[in-house]
Amino acid sequence: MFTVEAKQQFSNLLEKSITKLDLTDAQFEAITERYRAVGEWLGGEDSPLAKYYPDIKPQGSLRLGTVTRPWLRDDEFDLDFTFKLQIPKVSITQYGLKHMVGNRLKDERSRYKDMLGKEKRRCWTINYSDETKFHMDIVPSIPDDFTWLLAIGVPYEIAKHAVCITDNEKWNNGDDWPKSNPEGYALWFLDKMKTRHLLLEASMRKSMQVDKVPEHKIKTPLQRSIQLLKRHRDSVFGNDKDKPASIIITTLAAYAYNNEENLYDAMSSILSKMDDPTYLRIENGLYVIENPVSPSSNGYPGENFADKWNEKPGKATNFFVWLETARSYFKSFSDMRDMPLMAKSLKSVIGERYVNESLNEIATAQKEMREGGLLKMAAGTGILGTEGRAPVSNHNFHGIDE
Amino acid sequence: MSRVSLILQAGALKSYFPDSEISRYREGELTWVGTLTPSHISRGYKVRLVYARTEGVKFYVLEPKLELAPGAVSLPHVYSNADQRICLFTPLQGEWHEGMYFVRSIVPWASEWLSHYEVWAVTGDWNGGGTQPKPDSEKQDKNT
Repeated sequence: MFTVEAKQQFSNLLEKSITKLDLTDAQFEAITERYRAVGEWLGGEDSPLAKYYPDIKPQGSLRLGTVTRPWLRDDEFDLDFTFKLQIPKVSITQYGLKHMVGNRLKDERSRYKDMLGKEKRRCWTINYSDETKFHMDIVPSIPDDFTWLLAIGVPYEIAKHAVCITDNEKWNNGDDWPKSNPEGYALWFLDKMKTRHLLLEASMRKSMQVDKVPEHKIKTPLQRSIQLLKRHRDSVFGNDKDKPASIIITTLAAYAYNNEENLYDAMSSILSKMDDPTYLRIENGLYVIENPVSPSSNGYPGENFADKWNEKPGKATNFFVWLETARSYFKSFSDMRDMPLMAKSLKSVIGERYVNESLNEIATAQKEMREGGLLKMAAGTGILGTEGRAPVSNHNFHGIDE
Repeated sequence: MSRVSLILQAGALKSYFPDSEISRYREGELTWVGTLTPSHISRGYKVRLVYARTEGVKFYVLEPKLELAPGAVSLPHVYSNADQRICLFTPLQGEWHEGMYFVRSIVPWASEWLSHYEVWAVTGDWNGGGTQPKPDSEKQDKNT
């Protein structure tokens, strides 16, 4: 078992390594600039859509702060955006909405006309063929009449973000508009880690001596845990399309998180409670993982994230197999007592270069501590740190090449 | 600075590392065998410090046999790969002298060496600083 200090040290190494899976600052800036440019093209004064009060917003992992580098280095980040127009459902069809947005993107003067990918079910894809390595999925939407959500107990602050989206595989069947609420889901998610987020923000403001820390720079142990879990999933399944879905991992992890302070404790808690029958239920022989902002109630079925498990049982099996693999992988570290061994195991999931970079940074920081006269050695063990009976005085490692 | 007597060196080593073993031969020689664990998530390394008035201080990692970084053919900052004799200071610059306690110089430096070794074994990069002269300077290293 880990000592308290070992747990902290491992947690730090883990956190530093996962940080390497984030979008880089340059990527984050490029993405922000580009989605705003798309929003401007779609909804700016010259656009025929301007009169519908258009609004573009990140959704999914970019909104939740859980974007995780793709498993293969050459693969692209896949980032989702909601593009909302204030049009009443009765005044437009799904086809009409989808193509109203599509036509603007394909306009003669549009710089996006040659960047559009093949039309997808619910969105348009814009490809950026450059170093930033990402593509943007734009989901056209209109507001939903959310009184039905209020009736089943969804709070107003969440319900008011409910939208209707389009589905080109079903819109000819006369089906009602698909419902969605990515922003409501994000607010639910952020609320699950609010306590830790506020504490982190306060401490970062203090240590960075600034009035405001950019939102995307504050990552709670819940967000880090989800990144690690998604990465571990990718290490097991690669690009297998039946791998456990990010939305399921994210939802179950958020339910299990108790605002733990360090990553190790958060991971332990999440892994042990991810299959808690309160949230991962079996009802009438079917798996149910309810969308927390679209619950079932009073005969309305709600949104079930595990729907596809019931259509394709292999997906459920994959989830449970993966969860057991993740549990034993994570538990294995506590008995290792061997840094290089731990690092090798971390590399197999997080990636060689990211773990190497992290270790080199930690070692360089330790050397700088010694040069600054701050490094000490504990008597009895030899453990180095800020506490200890013996100061580590300055010196230069020497040697010969044999 | 005046020389720290070996009885004081031995007493300090025993005080800092009660579980270690020390043997001393008058004012001429001292051997210390102990275990150093450079970090909370490290294994313990069995080490030996050997001091002889005529030869200075030498430091060895006894166990385990140290693994090399991927692609490396030799350990960094050692006088001998086979003996795992490690180099902790630059003799010509007088970084260590007999007025210094082992427990406040050589031993913490050794723990630091082990810590940087562990990272090197994984990444191939030595982040501990120092110099790595070519073999022709070996003859000048009498004191280590």
